[in-house]
Amino acid sequence: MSTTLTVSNFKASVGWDFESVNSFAANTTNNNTLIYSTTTSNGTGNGKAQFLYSTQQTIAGSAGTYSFALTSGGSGPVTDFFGNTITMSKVKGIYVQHLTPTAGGTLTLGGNFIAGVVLTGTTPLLIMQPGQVLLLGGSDSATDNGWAVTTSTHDVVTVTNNGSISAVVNIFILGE
Amino acid sequence: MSTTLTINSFKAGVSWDYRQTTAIGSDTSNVSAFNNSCSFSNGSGNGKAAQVYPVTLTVTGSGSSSIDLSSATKDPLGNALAFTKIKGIYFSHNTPAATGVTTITGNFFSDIVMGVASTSVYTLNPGHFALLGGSGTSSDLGWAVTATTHDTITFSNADAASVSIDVCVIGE
Repeated sequence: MSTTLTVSNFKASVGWDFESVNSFAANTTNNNTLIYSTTTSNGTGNGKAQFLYSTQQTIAGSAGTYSFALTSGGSGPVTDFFGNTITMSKVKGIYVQHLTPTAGGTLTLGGNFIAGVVLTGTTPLLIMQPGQVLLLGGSDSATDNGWAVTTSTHDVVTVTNNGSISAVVNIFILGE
Repeated sequence: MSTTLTINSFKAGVSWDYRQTTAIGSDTSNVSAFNNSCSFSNGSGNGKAAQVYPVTLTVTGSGSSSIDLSSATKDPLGNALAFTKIKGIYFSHNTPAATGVTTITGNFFSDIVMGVASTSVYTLNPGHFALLGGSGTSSDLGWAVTATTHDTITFSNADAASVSIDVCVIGE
């Protein structure tokens, strides 16, 4: 059976009201918002995606991990909502939400895909504080953006909970 | 003059409509969303922020541009900034037609946000964005800034032409 995927909202925003108190007149204010918003239609190439891996995991404390592969040939392949094994060749978006602000320790994102493609360097990790969110990526109709996935060498994402108690984590990986 | 800062929205969201055809009847579908929204009131500590640094950088072709979070930058009201902790980070690459990536390093971003080693590099693809951070009232979140040793974010443009990057850093 064929699948179709539409991402109608892939959005981040930051809004602020910054005021300098004035003793004789109204405050001087800077009130602004930065917004990034995009969508993807089904398929491959510019502005498109066709695979989605979405899950909620409870990861044990004290360096417990959840590891998964973005290709069927990798270690720990995953399935979509319909039970189909996912084999991504490119990732367009990553969303991770730490839902346990009292965890008492960081959450780190590593694995050979994160550490070798999204990041580079000597065993780099993305470090999330308890309760934080991370949204990376994007899609544009003018360019075929994305991070390349390579079976076995660059296809694994590992989430490690360095807190003292279990942490609940929402994960969303969008790709083609 | 004293200042007050309210971060009234710090949001990340994704929503999808994922369908699989069936041999008979309507599609099997999963229509859902993840959303995270928080705010910061003025001050320091749990759920608070006191300083914001928004800027649009133009990074020249094959060039770089750096932000110093502990000195040399000014807030939108003209006051000198000196962050001690970062609560939220937003980057948006505004030149999707660029063919080369922009990499993000610097001793704050490489050592504190990406941990481990000063060689850590984040790859911001043309047209991509990154939002990291958040606020919780039950724990004092944030990445520590240390003057001189852990206070810079550097954007290096691998494209031959200049690119535009929106940056917003929230902290205390």
